[in-house]
Amino acid sequence: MSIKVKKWLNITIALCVFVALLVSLLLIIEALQNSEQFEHNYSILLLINVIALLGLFSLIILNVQQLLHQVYQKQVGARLTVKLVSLLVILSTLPVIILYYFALEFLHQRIDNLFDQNIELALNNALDLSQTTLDFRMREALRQTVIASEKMTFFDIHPKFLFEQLNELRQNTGAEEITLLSINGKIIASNRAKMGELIPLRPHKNAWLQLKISDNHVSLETTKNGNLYVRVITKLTYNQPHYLLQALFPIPARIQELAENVEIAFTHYKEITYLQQPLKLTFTVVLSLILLLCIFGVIWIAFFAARHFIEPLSHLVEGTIAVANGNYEKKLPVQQLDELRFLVQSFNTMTDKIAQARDVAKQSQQLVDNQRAYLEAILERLSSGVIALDHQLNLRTVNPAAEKILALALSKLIGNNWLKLPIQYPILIPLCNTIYPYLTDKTQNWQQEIILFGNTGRKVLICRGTLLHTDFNYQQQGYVIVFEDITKLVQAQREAAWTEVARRLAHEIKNPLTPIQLSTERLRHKCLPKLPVQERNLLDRMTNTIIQQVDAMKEMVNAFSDYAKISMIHKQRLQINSLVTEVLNLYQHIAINVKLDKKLPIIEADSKRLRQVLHNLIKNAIEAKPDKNYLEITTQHLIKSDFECIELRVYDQGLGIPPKLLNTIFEPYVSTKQKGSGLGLAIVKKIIEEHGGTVWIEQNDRTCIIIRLPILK
Amino acid sequence: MICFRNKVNIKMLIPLKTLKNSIWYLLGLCLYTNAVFAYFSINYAETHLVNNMYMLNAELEYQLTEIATDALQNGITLTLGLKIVIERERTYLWDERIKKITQYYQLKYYALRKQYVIEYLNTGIKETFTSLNIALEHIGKITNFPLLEASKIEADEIYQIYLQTYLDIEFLPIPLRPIAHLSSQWRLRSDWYSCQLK
Repeated sequence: MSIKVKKWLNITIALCVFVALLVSLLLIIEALQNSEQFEHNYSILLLINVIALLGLFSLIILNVQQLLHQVYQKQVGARLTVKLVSLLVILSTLPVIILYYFALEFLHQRIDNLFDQNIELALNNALDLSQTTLDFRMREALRQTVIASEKMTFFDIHPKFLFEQLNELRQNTGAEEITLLSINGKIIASNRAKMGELIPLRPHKNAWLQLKISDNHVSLETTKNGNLYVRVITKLTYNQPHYLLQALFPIPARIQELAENVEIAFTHYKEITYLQQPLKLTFTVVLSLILLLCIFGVIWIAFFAARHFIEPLSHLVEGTIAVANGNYEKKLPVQQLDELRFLVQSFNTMTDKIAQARDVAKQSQQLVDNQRAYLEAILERLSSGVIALDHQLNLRTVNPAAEKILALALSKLIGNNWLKLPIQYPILIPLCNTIYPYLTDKTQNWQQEIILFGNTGRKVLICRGTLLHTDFNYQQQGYVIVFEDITKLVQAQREAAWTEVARRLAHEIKNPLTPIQLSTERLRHKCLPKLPVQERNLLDRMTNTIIQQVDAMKEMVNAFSDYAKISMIHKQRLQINSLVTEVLNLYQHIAINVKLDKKLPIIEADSKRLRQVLHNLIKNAIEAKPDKNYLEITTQHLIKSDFECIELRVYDQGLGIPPKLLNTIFEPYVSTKQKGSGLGLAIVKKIIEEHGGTVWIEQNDRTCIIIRLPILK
Repeated sequence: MICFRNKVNIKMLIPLKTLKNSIWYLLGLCLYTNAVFAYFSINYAETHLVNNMYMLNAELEYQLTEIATDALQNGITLTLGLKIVIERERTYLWDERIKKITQYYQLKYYALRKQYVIEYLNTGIKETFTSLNIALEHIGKITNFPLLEASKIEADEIYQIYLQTYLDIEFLPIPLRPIAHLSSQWRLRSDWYSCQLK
C-alpha cells in the first residue's frame, strides 16, 4: 500500500470516527429530549461514545508517543511539529474550555432556577388541599355509611323488603352502590343507582385485613374506567355482628379532575426535583463528551495539520541533506495548493541545474581522466624517468621508469618536497644537488649528466629539465625532469673508444717495435764483434737501451691492450671477505691492518677480476710509501635508508694524491709514480664499474680508496 | 416435582443476556467491587401441566434499596423485569433456546391517594396497594403463569427453565441511568434460578 493511499485511508477512518461520534452525541441529545426512538439506546450510545473517545484518546497517545520518539531520534521537523501541535492545541482548546465552563455554569443555573420553593410549597399545599377534600369526602362517606348501618335493623325480613331498605339507604346516603355482605365476603344483597355491572365491586384483600383489626374500612379506589370512588365497609354492630355494609361513593368528576391534575403536577415536580442532580450530571457528562470530542478532534487535526504543514519543510531539509551528500537526483513532491510549492519547485529546479552541472563536470573530469590515463600510459611505457614538480617543488608526478632508474618508490612520496627528500633518501643527494641551482634559478631548459649509486649500483643519468606553467595564468610554475640511464651506453662508448685506441696503438706502435728490436739485435750481432773496445761498449750500451725501451714499450702496449680489451665477466656468488683474506695471504710480509665485517652479505662478482682490483690497490698502497706506511683494509655492510651495499676501504699513509690529480686519478696514464703504466687505478675503476659498483678516493690524513659494490638480491 | 435452586455460572448464561447488560455488568464490577445483589431473589419455582399448557408457580422476593424506595416515592417509576428462558439440553452442542419471556411490572407511587400501583406491562392490568411491601409481596407470588404449550415439548428431551428478576435500569428516566449503571444501590438483580420443566 502506497504512503499516499495509507494517508488518505487514515484520514477517512479518523473522519468517519469523528462524524460517527458527532452523530452519536446528537442522538444522545435527542434521547435526552425524551425521544421515543433513541430513549432506550441512551446507555448504549453513551457507552459507544466513551469507548470511541477512549479510542481517539489512544490514537492521540500513539501520535504523541510517535512524535516524542521522533524528537528523541532528532528527526527532521519533529521539534517544529511539537511546537505547531502545542500552539494549535492551546489556541483551539482554550476557547472551547472557557465555553465549556460557562455553558456548564449556565446549564446548572438554569436547572437550579427550575426549582422554586414557592412552586414546591404551592404544589404541596395543592396536594394537601386535594387530600383534605378527598379525606373529607371519605369521612363523610364513612359517616353516612355508619348512619345507614345503624338503620339496618331488619335482617330477617323478606329479601324484597331488604332491597327496598338498601335502596332507601343508598338514596339517603347518596352512595352509588350499597351492598350487604356476610362476614366471609358473601354478597347478600346489593343496590346500585345505575344499571351497569350486575356484580357489585368486591372489597380488596387489604380491606379484609383492615376489617380484622377495625370496624370500618375506608379507601379511595379507581374503577377500570379510571374514575375515583370511595369504598366504605362497616360492620353492622347492632344486633347483627356477622354482616358488613359496603357503600361506594363516587368522587365528583370536577373534583377528580382537579385532584388528578394536582397529583400529576406534584408528581412531575417531585420527579424533576429528585432528578435535579442526575440531570446536572447528565448534562455535564454530555457536555464533557462534546468537550473531549472537540479537544481530541482538535489535537488529532493539529497533528494532521502540523504534519501536513511540516511535510514539505521536512522534504526540503531531507532534500538539502541529500544534495549535501551529493544526491542531486533527489526530487521533492510538489503538492497542489501548497504555499510552499514555489520553494519546492525552486529546489527541484536548483537540483536539476546542479545535476546538469555535475554531469558536465563529470564529463570534463572523465575527459581529464582519460587524458591523464593516456598520459600516464605514455609515461608508464617511457624508458626515460619523468618527474614533475609543482611550483613549490613538491613531487607531483612520477612514472614507473623513474622509480626503476632511481630504485626508489617515489610514487609513495608524491606531495613531499623534492628538496627535503635527500634527507631521508641519500641516493637522491647527487640528483638534488645537481638540479637544485636550475630549480632556484628557474632555468627554462637545462641538461646535466649525473652519477648515482644505489641498490642497483652506479648509474650514469642524463638529466633534462624544463620549466612548466601549471596554470592558465602562467603564475604558478613547476618543473618536469626527464632522465635516462645511460650507464651502459657510456660504458659501451668508453669501451669502444679505448678498444679502438688499443687497436691503433697495437697497430701503429707495437708493430714497428719488433723490426726495431730485431734490427737492433742484428746490428749488435753483426757490428759488436768488429768494433774496437771503446766503440763496442758504446754500441752495446746503446743497443741494450733500445732493446730495453722496446720491451718496455711492448709491455706498456700490452698492458693498455689488456685494459682496453672487452672483458668477459663471469659472475658468481662471492664472499668478499674470503677474497680479501686470500689476497692478503700473498702480502704477509707487510703489516696490514684488516677489519672485516663478519656479517657481510654475499655479492655476485667475478673473483678473478676483483682479485686483480685488490692486488692493484694493495700494490699502489705499498708503492705509495715503502717505509713506515700504515695500511688498513676494511669491509662493511652499509645500510642506508634507500639502499644497501658492501663497502671496501683501502687506507694508506703514503704521500697522497696531489689535489690537481684527484679528479683524474682514475683516468688511464694518470699516475703519481715515476714508474708505472698509469693504468692501475683505471683498471680498478673499469672492473668496479663493470660490476655495477663505484669507486672514489678520499684524502685527509690518510689516503683512502672506497669501493662500493651492490649486494646480491 | 423436584425443583432446585442453584446459582448458575454467569459464563454459561452469557448467550441469554443482552450485550449491553453484560457490558454494564462488567463495567459495574470494575468500578464497584462491593456490588449489592442480595435484594432480589427467587426462592423457588416449579412448573406443572394444566390442559396441555405448562404453568409456572414461583415465589420471588423483592426488597428495594433505600435509594430505589426514595426514588419511587419521589415520583420515579420503577420497572421490574422477570426473565424466563426455556432451553432444551443437548449433549454435544450448547443448549437450544426454546422460548424467552420477559414479564415487566411497573411500580408507581401516587402521592394523592398514598397508594402504590402495579401495572403489568404485558397485559396492561393495574393493581393498587396501600403499602409498598404488600405490592412487592403481591408481584412476588406467581401462580399459574402460562409458559409453553405441551405440543412444543418432546417427551424424551430434558428442558431447563432459567429465571431471573431484576430492576430494569433502561426504563428509568434518562438522567438517572448513568448513575444507576454505576451504583450498586441500583443494580438490583437476582441470581439465575433454574429448574427442570416437568
